[in-house]
Amino acid sequence: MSQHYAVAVEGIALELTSADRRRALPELIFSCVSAALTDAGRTLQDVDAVTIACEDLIDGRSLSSMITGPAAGAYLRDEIRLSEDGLAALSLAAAQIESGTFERVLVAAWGRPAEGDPELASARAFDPFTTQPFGLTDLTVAALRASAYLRRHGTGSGPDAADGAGDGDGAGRAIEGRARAVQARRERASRNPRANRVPVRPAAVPYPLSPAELPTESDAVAAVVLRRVTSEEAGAKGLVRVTGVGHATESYHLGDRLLSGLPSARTAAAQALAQADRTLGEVDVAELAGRTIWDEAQLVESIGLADPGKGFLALADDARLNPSGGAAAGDCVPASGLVRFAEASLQLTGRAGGTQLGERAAGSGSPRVALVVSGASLAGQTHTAVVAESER
Amino acid sequence: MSGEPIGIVGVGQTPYRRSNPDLSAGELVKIAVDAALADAGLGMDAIGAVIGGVAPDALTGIKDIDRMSISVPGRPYFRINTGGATGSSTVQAALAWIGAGRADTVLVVALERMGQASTAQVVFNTIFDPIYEKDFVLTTITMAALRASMLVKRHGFTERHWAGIASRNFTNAVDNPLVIGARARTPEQVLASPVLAWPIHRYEACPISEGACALVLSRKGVVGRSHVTAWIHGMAGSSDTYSMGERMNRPEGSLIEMVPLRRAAESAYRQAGITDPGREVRVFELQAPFSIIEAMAYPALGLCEVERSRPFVDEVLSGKTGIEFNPSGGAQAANPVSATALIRIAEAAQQARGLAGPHQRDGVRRAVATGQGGATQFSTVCVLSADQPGD
Repeated sequence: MSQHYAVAVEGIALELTSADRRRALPELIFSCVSAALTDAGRTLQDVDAVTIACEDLIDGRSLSSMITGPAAGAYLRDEIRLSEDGLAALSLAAAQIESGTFERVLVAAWGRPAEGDPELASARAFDPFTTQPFGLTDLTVAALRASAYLRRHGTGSGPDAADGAGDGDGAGRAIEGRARAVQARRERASRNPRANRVPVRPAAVPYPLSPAELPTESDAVAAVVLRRVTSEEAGAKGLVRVTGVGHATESYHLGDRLLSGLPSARTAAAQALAQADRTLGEVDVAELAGRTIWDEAQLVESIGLADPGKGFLALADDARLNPSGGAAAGDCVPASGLVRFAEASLQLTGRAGGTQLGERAAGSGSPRVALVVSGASLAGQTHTAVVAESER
Repeated sequence: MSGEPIGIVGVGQTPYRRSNPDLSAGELVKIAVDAALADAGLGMDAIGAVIGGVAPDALTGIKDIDRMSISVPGRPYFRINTGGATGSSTVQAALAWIGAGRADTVLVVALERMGQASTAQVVFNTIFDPIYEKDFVLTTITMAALRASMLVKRHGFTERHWAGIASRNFTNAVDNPLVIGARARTPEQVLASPVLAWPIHRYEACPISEGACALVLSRKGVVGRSHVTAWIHGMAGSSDTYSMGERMNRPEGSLIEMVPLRRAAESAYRQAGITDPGREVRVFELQAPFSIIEAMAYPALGLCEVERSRPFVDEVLSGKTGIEFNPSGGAQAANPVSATALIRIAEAAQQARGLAGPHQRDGVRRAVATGQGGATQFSTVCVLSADQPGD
């Protein structure tokens, strides 16, 4: 077997804004990528390759990376673009380093709903003859999932039935902890200094979702510098390493999937944890990319961080879960996963600011093990999971 | 290449034609994948990951068509999209995946359904900057024409040079059973075809094509040593700035010098230990959807000096180089955009394996395939050989 190199996180940046008319998309990308390089203490000359995640239909250019790639540093160096979630791009970049292909790779992901509508774009991924006429989008599928979840786990007299979070479905069904989870998500996002508080556009709210449960649609750019760990520095204090990755895929057809669960998220997370030789109990911080709080709750349950039906309660009460505020702090596909990874990395380096986690609930010290999970088109058909760890 | 040897152990391709109204995207993919797995002697259970390649969604009219046609439930999957270089980028990703120890065997699949687009050039107009350039009606054809007129001015090329290259490619394609409707054309016939954008004639430009290509890549030891394998000795990519104006006058080279292709070639040759590609490589499969792109690629691939590119084309056309270019007919014969770069690697691999069929060339031990995407902006070079690295 050939040697596989370890991978470290060297620089992080993310920027969540709302329709900033002063800057074009390449300028947003350039700004964030420059910040990540500065954070790493590097210049572009130190970077071997650039791995990108972006979507043509959201960027409004039929080959987006042709115009936007150079702003991410893809100039006279290797460049690969994924039409995927940013966490998948990070995984591939890590593989490029692990395999010895490159020593340092810059990963960037972005989405700008101020120019292209992600909901409209997601609708174009459904079969044009049999499914598109139903008007399905990522958000309406999230609502279908929520309905399935409500049917499976809803109660007629939940403790938050009267707290006004849009928890009733007309038949008296409620979800335990739903309103408190929404409140906790909002509070965490309000403490997050990187959060965007002004949605790019108001979204239609499909039943049974409520406005407070939707993402704060934002122009989102995230950039991460990964590098090879030298043998001398393995175990060095403060070093954040990527120690596990997992990928899983479900059927394309929604009818073939378990709508109230996310088995590919479970599989991907289990793979990543196994590769890192970690258990769920050792996870100090989990950043989970879901479009709505319902998706976040179902991710929590699917991964095993809460029992079935208890995902909202966990989001409300467990400070380890989406301390950034999740999608409420700002979100746009396909940047979601890399934004969440950046937030998790900031936690591991003690730089999360107002959302920084302190003493561990089950031990002592700042967060050391982070799990990041994110899905991608079509409506979560694929999931990527990454475990990152900081050395004490 | 560092690390364990990795090779192409299975190749599968559909026929390439303008459109396939009787086949779904999934059916096209299945034809290619079944053939690749059969060629490898492996089942789907041996596949550790699937990497899809589909370029602009707009060509198909469906976003993420790979989700319904390429992704395999239960297998790690992601999609690459680097324009025309998409196919070769999937191979780069597979090499990293296997090299990192994440899988022993990876299936890469590239699919093109552009026959469903009402007008491909309308779509290609939207790859340019939406504010500053789109309204100039730039397309891939006019983009190539700008480079062609530079070649005329700087190096004295004439339309006959490009007609000669196109004629050679069309003639080669006649022996490739996968190019449906291939017809040999003389240089005179090429020159007699309508001008699309001066000085580009219709038969110097690639056709609209659909099809799928699949490769199975494995680390050494997955298949038996007796299995005929095309070993990857070198693979590299490089990208360039988008703006054509910024590439006119710079130390690295001008717009028509294909700087990223040169850099990718230098890296891939270095990995493969190639010092004189003109003597050490028997076959080149070039992603050159226009004749002028092929003419620009020769010096970038180290086959001649930039200043000698025109006389080198004369030597190529008179058969004096001893190098075989595009035995398959290349991208001028069939250009399913998302798959073209993977097809070039597939064809080069088959030449190295001695399995190219009617268009097999004699004495091929080493072949090179190129990938090209964006505004001649993303370039890849892959060196393949019948000989296992280290043997």
